[in-house]
Amino acid sequence: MKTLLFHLKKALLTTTIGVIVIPVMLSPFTALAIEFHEDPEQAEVIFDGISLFRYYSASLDLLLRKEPAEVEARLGKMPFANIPEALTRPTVDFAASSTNLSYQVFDVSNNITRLGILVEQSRFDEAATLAKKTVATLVDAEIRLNEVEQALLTIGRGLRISSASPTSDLSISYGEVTSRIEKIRAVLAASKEMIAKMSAGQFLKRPQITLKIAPFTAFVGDSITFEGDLASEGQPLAGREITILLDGSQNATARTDPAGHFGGTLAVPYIYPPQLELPALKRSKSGSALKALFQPEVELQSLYAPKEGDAGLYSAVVSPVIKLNLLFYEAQLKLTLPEKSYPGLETSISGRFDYRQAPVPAQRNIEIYLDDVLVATVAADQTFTAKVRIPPDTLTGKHRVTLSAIPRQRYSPVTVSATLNITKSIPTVLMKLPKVVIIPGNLRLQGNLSSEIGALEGASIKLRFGGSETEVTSSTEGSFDARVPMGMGSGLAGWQQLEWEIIPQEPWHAPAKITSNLFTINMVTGGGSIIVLALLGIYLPSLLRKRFALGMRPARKTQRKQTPVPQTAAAPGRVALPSQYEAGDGSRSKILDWYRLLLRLLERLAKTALAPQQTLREFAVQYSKAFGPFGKPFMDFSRLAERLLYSRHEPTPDEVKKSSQITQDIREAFKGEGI
Amino acid sequence: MKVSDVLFSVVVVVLLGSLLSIWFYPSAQDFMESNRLWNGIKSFSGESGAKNINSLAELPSLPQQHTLVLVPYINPEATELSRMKQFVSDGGSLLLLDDYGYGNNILKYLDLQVRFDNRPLLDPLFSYKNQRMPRVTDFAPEVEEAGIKGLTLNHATGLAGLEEPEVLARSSPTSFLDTNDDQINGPDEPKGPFPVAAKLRYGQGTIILVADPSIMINSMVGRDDNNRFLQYLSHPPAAERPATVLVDNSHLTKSPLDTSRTRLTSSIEIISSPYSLLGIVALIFLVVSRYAIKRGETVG
Repeated sequence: MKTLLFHLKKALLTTTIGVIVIPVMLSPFTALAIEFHEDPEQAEVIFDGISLFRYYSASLDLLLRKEPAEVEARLGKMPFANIPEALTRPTVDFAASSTNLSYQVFDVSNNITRLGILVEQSRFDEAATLAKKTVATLVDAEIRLNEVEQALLTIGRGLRISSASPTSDLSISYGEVTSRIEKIRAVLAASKEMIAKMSAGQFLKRPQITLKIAPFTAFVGDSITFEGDLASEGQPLAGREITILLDGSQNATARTDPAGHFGGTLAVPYIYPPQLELPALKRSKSGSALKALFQPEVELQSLYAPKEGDAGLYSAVVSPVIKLNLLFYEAQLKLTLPEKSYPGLETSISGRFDYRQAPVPAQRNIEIYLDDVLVATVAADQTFTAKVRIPPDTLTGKHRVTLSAIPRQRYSPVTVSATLNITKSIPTVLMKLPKVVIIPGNLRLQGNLSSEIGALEGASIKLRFGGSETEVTSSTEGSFDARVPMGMGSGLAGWQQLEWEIIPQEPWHAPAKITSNLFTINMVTGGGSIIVLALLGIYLPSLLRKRFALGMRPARKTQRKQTPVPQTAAAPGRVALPSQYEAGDGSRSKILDWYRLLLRLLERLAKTALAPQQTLREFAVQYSKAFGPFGKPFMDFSRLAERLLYSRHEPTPDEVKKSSQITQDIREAFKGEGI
Repeated sequence: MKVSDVLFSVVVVVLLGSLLSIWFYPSAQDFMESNRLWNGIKSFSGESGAKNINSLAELPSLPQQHTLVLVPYINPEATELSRMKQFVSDGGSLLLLDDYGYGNNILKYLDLQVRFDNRPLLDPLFSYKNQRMPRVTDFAPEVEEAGIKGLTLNHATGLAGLEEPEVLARSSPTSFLDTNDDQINGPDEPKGPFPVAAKLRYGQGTIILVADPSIMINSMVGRDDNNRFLQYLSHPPAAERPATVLVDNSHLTKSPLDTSRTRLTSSIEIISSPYSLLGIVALIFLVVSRYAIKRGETVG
């Protein structure tokens, strides 16, 4: 025990040293390992003011380049920036004010350009209006710039710019932002000065110009006539070039005649503004004729811009706006799609134009889009059906189909969309499965693969059954013939799963997995089990019976000490009674003598001998009937004999008397037997 | 009581205690499904209904509507690469998340030009707490349409060799690749933005690359739109039904506890087989019979 404890202590000490030393030795190596991530809750907080100021500088550069959309996009991402919480408000203010300022600077720049054009064209009225508006924008821009500057100052204080070294990156980057703010301030000041210069000294003669058109309503593509007069101080201005503006853009020109009159025709452009069914149309008495018509409008003006000798003498003038109502035909397109379509196959797309009261045109070109990708262009009548092949690699699911009818003269474009469900057909297997399968052996399966679309040609079929696998390919008609080898297995009988995996070639068929259950009977293990059960049922019980019968024998070890009884070698079949008692001493020996006599008699009557492994009691139980009515007394005598033989029991006088009596009675009854 | 009996009892108790500890003690290893700590992926697995696979041999032969999530921190073998290729070619989706692992070996095997940069991507301005956790706000239109506005990464890298239409997400212009690992934006270090997520068609399937597997871990999956982004990548929006998500455990580095648990699980599966059960029953029968017979011999 002491040795064992010593070894245990030694092992424990060794283990403890190893557990401590080895990780320490390995720690340098583990420290070199790449850190794949860190716990965000425990992560160190580090703010980088330099990056913030540089980002602001770059954003203000975009402002100076008059790109407000870019400025807005950049500063719109500031909520995702790593900013100290105390500086959240000033950074929001900086971003908002800078974004507004960028649009204002852009507007001011555009307005100044436009102002220059107007002044050049001596359109001083318009120029004055624009100048006034632009100055208001400049005033507001200066306010925004001050807000930007104030926000920057607050951020700088928060990041302790004042205590940073002037040559540090932080100070330098901060300085870059402030310098850009000064540049913007200079730009605003220069813009104000420019506007002031443009607005100064505009004392020129102002002519009068008029414009009339006919008709006031026209179809797109049609021609209308225009006419008007140009005069100054009651005197016609002849030979001057007049420009007809349509929605502010030059559309036609004319020249005044000696009477200062001008005229001409212009083509109504093919434009189809978004539909608005005017309320007046609905209430129109002849509404039925006009229901198909949508009437947006365009603005027409005549413009006189002084040139050559007129420049510096006259100012430019425009006539009041005249509205021209546009007419065009608008249709509705009804789209009909099949319930489902399949990749790789043609699908029918039907449509019908509804022109209401408008005349029906000849064919129109229609573009068909699948998920915004052009897949077909067809020339369609009022009612049409187009066959469109769905690309084979199209994923299953819902897709958008869009039909777009190209505008044609008086007919406006029409667009309509609908959802197309693209799916794959599920294959089905037609075949007859056997009811019972005997294994080991081959399982033959013949059948046909098809779907709602048709047969599956060249589809790969993988079959798995009971651990075996085989693969076949379907024929052109979808038929197949497969043999699945089946091993022995360990079961006796039961249901086993047959798995089918079908992998089609055509893109319009979906792969499938089918399972079936077949009842199998294993001939080998079943037969073997029957044999084993039979052997166990016959052999085992007798074996167990014999083994458990040994339990009736006296114990090899007894608790009590027995008086050693000298043993004599007994003749085969005889009970070995102690020889010392054969001398006839005492009641014990007498009783045993009498029992021996009766035993010999019983052996003679039963014609058998006491077996070596049999006890007296067993022999008596088996054969005491031969004594007839004395069988039970003999049984009692046998028990007494065993007690005397195997214990220290001393017979009582009553027992001696009973033993003597039974011996006499049996001898008397069977005296003819010669005992 | 004999010393041998005492030792035997001690060994049995220690063995049982060890087995129970291995079985029930939660893992603390990165990206383990059973790990509820900050670095596990218990939340992501539950949210996506993911199934864990311990070998690529468990990949289905019909991979349509299946997404394999793979973090290759162990170099895949040739047979595994072949299985991956077959899986994607036959219509499966491979969501490959990597930063400093063996993702480029997979891309090279698939003969793709794109690569994981493997250098740390840092963003000093657009980040969470510090530049090692950059935030992404620049997405492809289809990703924005799915409602994804921002991601938070954790020790990420970038992607290189991509065509423009393939990019799903980019880092900010203030990001940079820390080539010398000094955490400072040096003048010679590449400046952002860098692609951090991309999608490519491959055969009949799709390969989706994300340059940071850490967006899956419990402490990161709930930040910004990380979870929504992962669900968007795992389940194709145009599909008829959600995909089955398979998370591969076989290429993750495992602690001894995880290795032991895996082996214990395998052992249980072996013991559960009919042959083994039959053997155990027969052994118990023999032992009990012998004991009963011995006891019977002492009765009397």
